[in-house]
Amino acid sequence: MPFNRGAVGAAASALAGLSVSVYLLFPEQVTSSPYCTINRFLSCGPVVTGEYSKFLGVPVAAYGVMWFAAASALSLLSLRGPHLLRYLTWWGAVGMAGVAYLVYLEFFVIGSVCVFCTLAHLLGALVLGFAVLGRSEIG
Amino acid sequence: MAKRRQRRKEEGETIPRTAKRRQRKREGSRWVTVVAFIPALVLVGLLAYLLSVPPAPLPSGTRTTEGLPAEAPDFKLRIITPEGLTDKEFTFSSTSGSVVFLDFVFSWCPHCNNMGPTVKRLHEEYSGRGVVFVTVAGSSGSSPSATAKFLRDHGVSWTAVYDERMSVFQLYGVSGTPTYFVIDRDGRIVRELIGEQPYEVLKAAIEEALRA
Repeated sequence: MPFNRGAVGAAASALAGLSVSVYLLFPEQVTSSPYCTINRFLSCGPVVTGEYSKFLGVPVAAYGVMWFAAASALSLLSLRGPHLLRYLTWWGAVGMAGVAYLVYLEFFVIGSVCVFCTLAHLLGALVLGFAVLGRSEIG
Repeated sequence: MAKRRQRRKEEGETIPRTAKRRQRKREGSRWVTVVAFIPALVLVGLLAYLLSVPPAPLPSGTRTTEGLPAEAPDFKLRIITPEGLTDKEFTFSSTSGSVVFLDFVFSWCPHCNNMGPTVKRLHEEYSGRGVVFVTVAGSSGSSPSATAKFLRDHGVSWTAVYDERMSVFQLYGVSGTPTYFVIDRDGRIVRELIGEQPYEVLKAAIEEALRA
């Protein structure tokens, strides 16, 4: 049985996003990267180590790890049971709401944008896109 | 017979209707798929735009051919102490006649925290020889209380100022922290050092400024 293309894309994006989120859990490593401070606005330091880097005492990156771990599990299970893409779509929508808030914080509150965080946001958005694509393939 | 004909007639009409409905559904789901990829496309566009934004240049005419500002720009900022932000202002004048060690930091910056003991050691050694130490703490991603904690943690007893608008960071072209400027008695920038530095490198830069 051929795999659902949407589920494959979602699984790949979710696993890549999981790796990026795990990396973001180590701010010392992130801020040492040459891609951290690209210019005055594109700087990950204030984002990953500043006062908005934690929510309820937990690093925001940890929420990302949890979100991508669940998305990875759901998308991998969807390879066998494409009906699960329905739940992945909803999970993706929840994730996008979080991403919208984080992007707002970066632009209008912190005044800096983190490239690695934006990459994680992009991979989250791809999970949603592929989940919907997968559902359209089921018909 | 009549019933069968009636049924065939009905089937003949319903099949194309179902096909049309399916086609409409398929077209609809195609659009939903396209819409679902819009957040990803927006983020790709955002990343591409941000990466294409060139680093903000220094105010024109302030850099020499070696890429350093010819003269350390003057500035005025509010003083911050380990207790918090004060209403007192500190005016920095490069023509004060002293060698100055200017240290740009953020409270959240791991490298600035790592360098805390080194800068303290330099202060202990050189403050007695007339070197003025000034720490400029940035506000981006930080706060006066977080900066005060940073000063407490590192035992900063010299002048520290809080750059609320990041204007002095911009004036000096600081793009990463920590950044150190060593300024000689004539107000010229002798060295600009970016990132964590060994004690000996900073010491050599101060010695160079003292000799100049």
